[in-house]
Amino acid sequence: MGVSQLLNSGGPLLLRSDFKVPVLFAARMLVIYLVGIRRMKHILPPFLPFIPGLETISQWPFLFYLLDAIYWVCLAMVFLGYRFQRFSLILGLLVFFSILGSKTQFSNSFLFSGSLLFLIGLYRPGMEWIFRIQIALLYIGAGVNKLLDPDWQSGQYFIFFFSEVYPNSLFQMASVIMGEFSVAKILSWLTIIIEFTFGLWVLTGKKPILLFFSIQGFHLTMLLLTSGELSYIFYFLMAVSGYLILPWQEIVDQKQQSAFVFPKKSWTLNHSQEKAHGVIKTWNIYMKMFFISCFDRVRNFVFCPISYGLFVICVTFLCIYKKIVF
Amino acid sequence: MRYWIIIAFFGLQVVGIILARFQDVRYFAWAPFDQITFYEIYAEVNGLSLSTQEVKKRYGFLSSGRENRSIHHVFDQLKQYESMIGQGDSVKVVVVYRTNGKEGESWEYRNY
Repeated sequence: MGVSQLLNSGGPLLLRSDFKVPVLFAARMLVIYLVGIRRMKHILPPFLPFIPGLETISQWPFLFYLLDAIYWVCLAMVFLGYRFQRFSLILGLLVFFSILGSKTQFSNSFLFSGSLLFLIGLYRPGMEWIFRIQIALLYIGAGVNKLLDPDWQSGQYFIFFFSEVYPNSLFQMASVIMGEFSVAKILSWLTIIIEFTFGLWVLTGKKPILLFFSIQGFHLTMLLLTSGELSYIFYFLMAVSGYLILPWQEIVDQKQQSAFVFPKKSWTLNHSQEKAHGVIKTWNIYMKMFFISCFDRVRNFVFCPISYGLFVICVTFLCIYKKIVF
Repeated sequence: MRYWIIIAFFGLQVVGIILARFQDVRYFAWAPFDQITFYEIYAEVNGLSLSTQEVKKRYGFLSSGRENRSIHHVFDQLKQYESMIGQGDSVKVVVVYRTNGKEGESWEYRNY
């Protein structure tokens, strides 16, 4: 059995679907990340490279003019959606080249964006598992590093974090009641457990919508607790990558049912139904309808790439310009 | 071919996570915000102290700042610069740092 057959053979990790996830949306968002958030204008010549000898290519400046031109063409093509997978792949490789060429360019978020672009380039329908594995590796890697760090085990990290780096009144209040180390320890272990849970959960492929909202909740909570300063880049990237693990076939099927898109139609009770249920039951039904309607509106908002993309961009840029006050 | 590339790509990431257990640097280990370190760099090249701007120009990062990953990344880059590009100079670099709010420490590199 070949590797491709093995990977497509099924199982919870490798669920097969022939529906294309919104990879173009993700690729466009990553272009916004590179240009708008990272403000990457050039492919810089190697400086303190990871691969010894790579700095020698700095002798050919024309090469970097060429790489700059390729970079901007790729950005434009991805944004326009023209053969965007090919250009995403090239963009991903350019990000890897920038990182491998310069240790000063290294950052986990930059590397993650490159990985996503690279995987978008290699994606084919039925290969949604590649995004799940990428997200799993990120969270499990982060979890392992924290789990084995003595400062995370003891809570020292969070004491420093919430007292000197991002002073937080909620942390101070909780510390007065429970003790500084207890609160910090709870936060440390909670973070480790959440990261491992996300990492393993995404591999199972189960309840992806709940997982998607949990990831959003986790990163948005971090932003709130640090007044929008910590990890807005990761919020952006996880908001984009999380979008790729949603069950798009199911979402589209539900959208095609009129009840989902136009909920009022199917929820209007007729006269005999109202009589049968009585006043209290009718009130309960109306309350249920109200909540389901709200939930559906949120779902419709989130599952529309334009509205969701705009929301993520607005949150991120608000954080960049420090307009969020906690 | 596509599958092999993807498997190799994920395999490299797993190797990065495992390798980080055996070294101080955490470059490809998916370890953002694992440590927070405030640091200051004092560099002396051929007997002359470098200013803030000169440190930035020489090493590519600020002379005092915050590192949200392992502080060993800063040491690694300083060492690499001086052992590769700054080989001809007599250099002494001292980094005074404080990780996760613990007591201050210092790291020193000199090539003479």
